[in-house]
Amino acid sequence: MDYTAFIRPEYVLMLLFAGALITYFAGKYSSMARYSLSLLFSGLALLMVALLYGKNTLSVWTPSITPNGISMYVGTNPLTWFFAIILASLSFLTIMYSIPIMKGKRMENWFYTLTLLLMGSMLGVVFSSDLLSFFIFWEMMTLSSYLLVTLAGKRSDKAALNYMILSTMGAYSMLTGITMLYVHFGTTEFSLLSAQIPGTPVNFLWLSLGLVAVGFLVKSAALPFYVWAAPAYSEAPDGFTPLFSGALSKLGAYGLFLFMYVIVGMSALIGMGSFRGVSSFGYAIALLGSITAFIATLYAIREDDIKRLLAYSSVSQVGYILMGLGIGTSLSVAGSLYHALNHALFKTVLFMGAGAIIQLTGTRKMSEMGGLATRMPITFLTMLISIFSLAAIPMTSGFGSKWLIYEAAINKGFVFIAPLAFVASVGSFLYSFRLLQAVFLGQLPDGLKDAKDPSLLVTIPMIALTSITVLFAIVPGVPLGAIASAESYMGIQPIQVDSLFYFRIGNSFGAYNALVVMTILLFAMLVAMIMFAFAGSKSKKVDQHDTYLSGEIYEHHSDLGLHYAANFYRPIERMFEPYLRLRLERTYDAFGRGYELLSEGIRRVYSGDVQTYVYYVIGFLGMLIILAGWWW
Amino acid sequence: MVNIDPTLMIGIPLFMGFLIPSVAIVWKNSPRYLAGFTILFNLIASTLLLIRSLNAPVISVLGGWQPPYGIVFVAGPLGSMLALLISSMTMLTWFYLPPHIKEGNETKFYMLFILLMAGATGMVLTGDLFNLFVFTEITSIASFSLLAYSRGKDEKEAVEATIKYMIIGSLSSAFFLIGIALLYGATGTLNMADLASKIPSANHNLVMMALAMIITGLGIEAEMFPLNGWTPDAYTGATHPVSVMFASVVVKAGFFALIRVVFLIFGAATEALQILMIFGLLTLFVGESSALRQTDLKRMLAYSSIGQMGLLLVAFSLNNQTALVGGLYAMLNHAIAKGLLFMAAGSFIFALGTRDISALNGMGKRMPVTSALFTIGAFSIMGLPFFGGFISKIVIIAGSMQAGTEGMLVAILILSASLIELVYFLRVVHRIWMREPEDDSRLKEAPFTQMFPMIVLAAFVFLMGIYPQAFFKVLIPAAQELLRGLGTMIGGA
Amino acid sequence: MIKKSIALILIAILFVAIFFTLANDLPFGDNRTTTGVSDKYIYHGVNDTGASNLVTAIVVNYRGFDTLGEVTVLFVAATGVGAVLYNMGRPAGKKRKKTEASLIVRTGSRILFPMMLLFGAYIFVHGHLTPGGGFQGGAVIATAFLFKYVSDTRYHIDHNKFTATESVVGMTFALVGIMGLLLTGYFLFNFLPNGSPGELLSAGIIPIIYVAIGIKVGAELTGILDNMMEVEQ
Repeated sequence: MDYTAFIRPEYVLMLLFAGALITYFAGKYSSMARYSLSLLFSGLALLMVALLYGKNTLSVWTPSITPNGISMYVGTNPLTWFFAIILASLSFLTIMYSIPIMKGKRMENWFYTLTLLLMGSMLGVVFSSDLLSFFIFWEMMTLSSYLLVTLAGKRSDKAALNYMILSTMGAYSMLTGITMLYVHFGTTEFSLLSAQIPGTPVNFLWLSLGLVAVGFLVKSAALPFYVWAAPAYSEAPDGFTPLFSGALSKLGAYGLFLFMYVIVGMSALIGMGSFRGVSSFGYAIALLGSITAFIATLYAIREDDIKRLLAYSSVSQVGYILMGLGIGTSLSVAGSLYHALNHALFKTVLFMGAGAIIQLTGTRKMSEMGGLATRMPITFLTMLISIFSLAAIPMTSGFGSKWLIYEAAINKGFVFIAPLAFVASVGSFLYSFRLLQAVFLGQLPDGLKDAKDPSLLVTIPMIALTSITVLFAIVPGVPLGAIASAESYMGIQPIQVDSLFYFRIGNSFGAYNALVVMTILLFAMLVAMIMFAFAGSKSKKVDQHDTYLSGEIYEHHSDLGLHYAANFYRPIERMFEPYLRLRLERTYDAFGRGYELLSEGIRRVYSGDVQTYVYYVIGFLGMLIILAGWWW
Repeated sequence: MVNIDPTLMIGIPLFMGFLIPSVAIVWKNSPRYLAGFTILFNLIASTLLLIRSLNAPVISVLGGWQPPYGIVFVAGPLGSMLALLISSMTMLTWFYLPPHIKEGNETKFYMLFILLMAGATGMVLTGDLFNLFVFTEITSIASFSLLAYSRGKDEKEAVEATIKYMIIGSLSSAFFLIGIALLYGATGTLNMADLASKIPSANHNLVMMALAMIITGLGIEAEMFPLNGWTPDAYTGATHPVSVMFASVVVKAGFFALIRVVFLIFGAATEALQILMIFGLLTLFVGESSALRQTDLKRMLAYSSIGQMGLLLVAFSLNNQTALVGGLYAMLNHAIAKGLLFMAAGSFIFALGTRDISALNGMGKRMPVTSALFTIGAFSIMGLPFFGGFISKIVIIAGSMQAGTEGMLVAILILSASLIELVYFLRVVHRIWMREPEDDSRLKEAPFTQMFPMIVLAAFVFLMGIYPQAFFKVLIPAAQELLRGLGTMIGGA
Repeated sequence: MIKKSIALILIAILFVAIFFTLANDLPFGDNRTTTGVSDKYIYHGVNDTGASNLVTAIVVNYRGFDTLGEVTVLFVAATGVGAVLYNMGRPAGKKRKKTEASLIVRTGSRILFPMMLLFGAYIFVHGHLTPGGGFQGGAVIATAFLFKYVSDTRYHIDHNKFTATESVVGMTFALVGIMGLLLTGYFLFNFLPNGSPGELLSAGIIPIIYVAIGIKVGAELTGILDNMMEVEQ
């Protein structure tokens, strides 16, 4: 039998949607069926997506669904595949990880159904090849992720609602933009659209592209729409956060890639106005991205809540992705795509680890944790490497991507973007160090003496993702090969990858040989370890409170915040305090409250008094008649 | 195929309406069955009519007097589609009725119920302006009589609402009638097609005055701001099936009458469309904003209905084919989904004994089926994909985009209002499914006879979301009929 | 006070607006019969319908369907009034004492009641010949019953009989319409011969319809009166 006929994007989507339904009904009766079916469907979908590598398809899959005869298209191409494989593998691994984490939690059955649905709709977003199905899947994705956030119960209510409102606002802005495109060009299929783009008035492009971009910026949690992100990421159920932050946040970037480079195309984009050879539109996106990266880092630094810290970190990392995306050179786009991959890898591991730790400790406050490194070695190691990758320390995959983005920014001489990116990078080192220190190092609280690593179902995904991080650090050519073909699909000069020698990445401006760097670093580490081993014999173990309590009895001062992680970066916080107080959330809240008050006032129009209503009627008629008599 | 004359869709219900009281004297349970039979007849007749009218408008001359001297029924695709909508919504509501009628009033209730249907059907089928007035009267008087037959502790409220509705409703008919008189004075005819051809040469001031009067009169029926003061009280005070009839039948017929007068008689007078556009947007915003902070479930749905009527006004006043199709789609969707919502809300309220939204906490566990049906309706009104509201929303947006820069502004306003709507519906749905109930006990679901109409409506909501082509087959000719004006309407004349 | 002034101002605005818009466009007392459909009614009405009363010809024949509708409106309104009054009158406490009418009134009513009924019947039976018709005749009949109510505190109508009468005559009207459809293909078609104008048995279906309307309107208005009376007890 020929299996290849079934390796088509539409079958992946159908499989997942049917799978969600089947899992729901089977899962109602047996939890075993629920786990195995959701693993089976997501695994099968992952396999199919993987087999789609290198394919280029486009097919109509519904008849016309609007009066003017618009059909829906699905297809796959290198850009699509790159995102699809990230989304599919993360979904699969997250489902695996959720089995122990979500066990016995509220509405467990719905969790798997919705996760499969979300996986399907995310893949739908990337596979869809026309505006309408893109929008439909986009809405489905928003809705199913909203529902997943609300599964956490009452405490997530507000976060979920804010997420939904902002997302819908973005989606509606996008809808306005895509309908403009549709009405102007009379088609919704991407390739037909892009063929008609040349010669389109610049104002029209700015307006429609801008409106569409708002939707993506909301999803990427970029300035000024990032307010939903930290609460939603952190309040979402622990089983969903890795997927939410690791996979879903990338779709905003995907959308921008799609609309900026695939549909509008580089030349038309430059035609809209350019700044030092970079399109003004892209520059604006890059600028927003860099500011987001910077601000979110500041917020992350002062967080004590482990999930909120990681959430702000996500926002800031997605800022990097947008930065690279906006600059739009060969290097920067490669960096951006590469960073999207890296962020997916490391942030998923971090959130998975955080979820495991939260389940173990029952708290999200880092100041109530500590010293877990010895008790949870696997979690520690995987998270350590991921944190290295997050902080862009060489020897991890995260270094390569940030390096590409910096180099692109510096090459273009962007005096505003590049420094912001650097500062944010230092910041990300600061907060990830705090995370590491507070959770894994320091003293072990009494309550956590018998902590141990979570079950295999949790550690396997973490180990798998971490090993990819390490592997790609040595052979960046593997992901970059896929990225290069995605770039050439987008009409951007592909980054040069040494096809024989996967360790080298680079272009005319310089090169980076991962193998060399890796070897040197390993050697240096070895030296350090040997030194430590020798020095280690001289070290002395001290009791938890010895060093800074000077004999005071700890219990009496438990509220002093004596934990290592408390006030970790007090000086930095003090420095930025006045600025951080100007939170954007307040503006949104004020607007929301203001509108509610206004609506309360509007409702008063319906006084319940029939005399008033009669006045309205007479007044309206009088107005109409005056108009009719004297104006018309 | 059997051809049923459209006039019988009025004649039979009227006959049965007169018959019911006397049969009830000897056979007490007969009204329900007689009414059911009548509605079924109309349902079949309107289905056949719709099929026929897709080929050519069905014209039926009353009393043998050719228009413009006599009254004529003109059933184009649009009119027959609405007639079908009316009879099927009435049929489904009929299933839903029993426990919501006050004991001892069944006879009068069922009689009024089928007369209401007859009135609304007449409103959408007639081709004569004065006849339209007569049917508008039947419909509105039947609806406030039905409103008065509320049940249980809402009685006082219902009477108050009835009187409000009566006062404003009488203003409506007064202005409508004056408008008709002015038009007759200016043109000397009442036949809509004839009017359309004579209006261009008639006295402009008179015609515009008539237009103002008619917009005011029918605007009241169509829930246009600021003429819709009666709406929230009426929806809230009415017994649940009557709220369904208001939302899905009465207001739709009134709206259609307004649109028809503006489009067909005044040939889409641009001035009138501008007014409708502005007040449609106002209606949209006032309705949605008022719903935002409601704590009373039915009142919230009532304000949401107002908002949706505003959306319809906006869509129709855009005056291009796409927007009209979208508007018609929204009209269908709103009739179906809001009917579903009112039915489900009625079941909630019936079981809980309160209209307070906060009592809905955890209803997903206490009444799962009704909750699921309510959610489907809410999702459709919110315009989520795979529900009818989504299609109508995107088609309306596409239509407004065709209207240039102002159209874009309109699109943005529609979407902002849609966002408000999303917020308050989401709050309710969230409450139903996600909150923990104070009292965990399982509540009794409505019996199957009442569940059946809700399930049918929910199925239609889905169908509208996933297979819109089926509906476009009717809606596109319907929109073209409106746009062409009276070209085809003259037909038999 | 404020409300009153708002009302006055609004009405003033409305009046001024309407008056000045239409002052020149509605010439008072102008002969407008030569335009539109009225021509046909005026010059061919008698031939077409056989009714010497032109108003009746239009109301019952040319636009008979409207009249069927109006009858329904009245029917529905009577029921609605009943419903509102029924719900409003429920809490006891607003009982009003009835004063017995004087002997003169009582005796007079006994003599006049049949005459009033007869007069009402005359009006609607001759609807196609002389001014007046079903609605007017019905109103007169209702007045007769009102008279009964006023003169006799114990008097009340038999609801069932009234309902049955109302039903039967209402159905008659609808049936005449349906028969027209069955016989000729037009709803409410005048399928009876027109006869010679001016005679009692002429104008086709008009007398039948007017008799039905007369009885129906009489019964409905009496029903409304009855509802109001009952509440006051």
